[in-house]
Amino acid sequence: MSSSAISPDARPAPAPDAGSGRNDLAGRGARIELTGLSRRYGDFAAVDDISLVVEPGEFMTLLGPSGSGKTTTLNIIAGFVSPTAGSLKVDGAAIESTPAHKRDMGVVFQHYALFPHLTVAENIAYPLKRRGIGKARRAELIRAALDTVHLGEYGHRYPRELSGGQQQRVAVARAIVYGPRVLLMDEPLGALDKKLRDWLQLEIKRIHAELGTTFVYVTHDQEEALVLSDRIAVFNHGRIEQVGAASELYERPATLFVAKFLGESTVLRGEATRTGDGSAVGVCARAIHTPGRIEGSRAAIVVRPERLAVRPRDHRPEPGWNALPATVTGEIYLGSSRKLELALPDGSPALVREQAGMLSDTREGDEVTLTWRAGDSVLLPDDPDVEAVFT
Amino acid sequence: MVLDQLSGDVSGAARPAADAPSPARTASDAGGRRPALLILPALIALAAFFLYPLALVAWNAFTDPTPGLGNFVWFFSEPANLATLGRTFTTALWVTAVSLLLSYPYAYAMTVAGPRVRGLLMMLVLLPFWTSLMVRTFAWVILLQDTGVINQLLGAVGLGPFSLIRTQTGVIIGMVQLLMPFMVLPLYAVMSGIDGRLLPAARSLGARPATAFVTVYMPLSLPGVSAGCLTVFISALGFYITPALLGSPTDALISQQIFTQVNGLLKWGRGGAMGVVLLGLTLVMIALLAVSLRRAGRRVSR
Repeated sequence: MSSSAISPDARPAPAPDAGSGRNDLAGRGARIELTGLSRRYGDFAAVDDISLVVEPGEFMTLLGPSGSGKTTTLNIIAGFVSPTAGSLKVDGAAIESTPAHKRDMGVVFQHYALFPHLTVAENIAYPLKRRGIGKARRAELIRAALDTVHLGEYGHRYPRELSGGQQQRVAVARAIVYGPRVLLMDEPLGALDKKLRDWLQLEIKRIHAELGTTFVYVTHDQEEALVLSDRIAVFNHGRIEQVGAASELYERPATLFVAKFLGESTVLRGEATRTGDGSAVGVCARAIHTPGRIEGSRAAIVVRPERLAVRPRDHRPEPGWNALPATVTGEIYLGSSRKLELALPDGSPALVREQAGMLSDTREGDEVTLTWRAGDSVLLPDDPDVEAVFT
Repeated sequence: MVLDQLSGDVSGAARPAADAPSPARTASDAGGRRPALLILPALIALAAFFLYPLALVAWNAFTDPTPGLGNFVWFFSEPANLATLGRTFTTALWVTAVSLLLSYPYAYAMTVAGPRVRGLLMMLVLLPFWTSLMVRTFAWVILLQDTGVINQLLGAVGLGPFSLIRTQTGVIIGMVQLLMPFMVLPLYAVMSGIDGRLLPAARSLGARPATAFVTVYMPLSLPGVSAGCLTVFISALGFYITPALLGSPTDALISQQIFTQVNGLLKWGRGGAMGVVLLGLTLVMIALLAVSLRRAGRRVSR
């Protein structure tokens, strides 16, 4: 119908070997490069000078609390919002001034945004018609897209006749059917219940693996980010706090915000002084050792719960280990593990996770010693604003 | 007047034609007899004040002054009557078309405007409801007359004068202004229910803005278009005061002719026959319009 600028032949024709497990819609992912990107609304910076590179075929998650700028960033990439500063490149070509309909990206919205007056098949045909793809080829592609999301028999139904999870899968099918090199997803599972979400996460992961498309995925759910992503960009106040693989963010958080947003942790605050092989932080009148070094002296030490161990009160720490007295205030049995909640002498909380089979015989009310390797203490500059976000 | 009451009733019937039957409706039908009791007073009023007079008019058409089809033979054998009937329908069509052209962008603007501008736009639509029909029509007389405000303004820039009053154009201008709320309100009701993410979604799928609008927004707004068009068209068919004051007596519409037959000539039978013809043709037009709009909706959406 419309003579779109997008060529239907931009993508190599899919190989006919559907039986071999290769997906008919598979293609090559694009490299996305954001440099110094900002979006201001008056005095408010929704996105504040962010830079990020998404590699071809990568699954990049933009993670952050609501209002942190992650959705605005996605909308800038999609072309729905124009940046007030900075550059946006796809495969090396600047596209800030390319209108949304010429960007050739797939977008999946939180509330599906299926066309209610069209059937499932007509919805999926929509982007193909805009590209002037002929009827026979359209039918093949629609079939491939529906098969990819396991909705082969639903082509003739209307969106309102499908469940939320099915509608979202149709939205995914519609966004991948024309083989875009980038798929943008804005909290696509946000409106679904937990069980369905868990299953669809795996579906999305499978589709990503089958297609080889670059995925940019927005979520505020850290667990979802951990399950899906190759790398995660953690957003806060319009800025990117840290970019890295899930394990990197978890083991070596760059800021206190990242440490608190991803996973659980114990935070010990105090004055840091440099030592020969790192720093020492005064916590509850004791020196806590860490190999890290920071500028300034207001420090926070972050320790993940599985790195902490409880020992009897009279336990003597080995060299290279830290120790703090603590009182057990609660325990939560989780089957495969047990969480112990403790209070330090200054009243601040600590959290220990013990694997099943390795449980100590500690009970609520016990006076214990908390120990951990100095090397497991992540030293970060203290950030008083972080408490406000999490409490 | 009977026809004015009819318009409100028939426009309500337009909605089921435009919507697909929803499962919710059948569910509420199973809810027992209580809803029937709730609408009983309205049904009694409808029967007493609408159906009975309507039946009386129809009865007169076939019996006054003598039983038979005499009144209808008279109506269809007088070229002047047929001309009036045709003029009535073309005027109503013009009024509907102009109202739609003006109201569609207006209603769309209401859906995209901020809350304050939307409130203002809504008030401007409702304002005519708070002024009497006579006052508004006389206002148009002042505006449209040969030495009126519009011609003076046009004269100031070297145009005109145009004869606006006592022409079909004048009648259409006045009727459009009076009937626009009936077009804007159903359009706005339907448009404000359209998911705002659909247009960006269409654009992300490769549709240029105009294509996205035509292929997604317009089909979804069609229920509002058909409801608005039917209401305005049918209301326009029965208009009396506005054509009487703004139109020329030689270009009278059918309601004026009915008035002349009944009040001037005391020909109750002829007036009744004209009413029955108008009612019959109106029902046919509604059916055709509903079917064609539905077809159009399906075609655009494909």
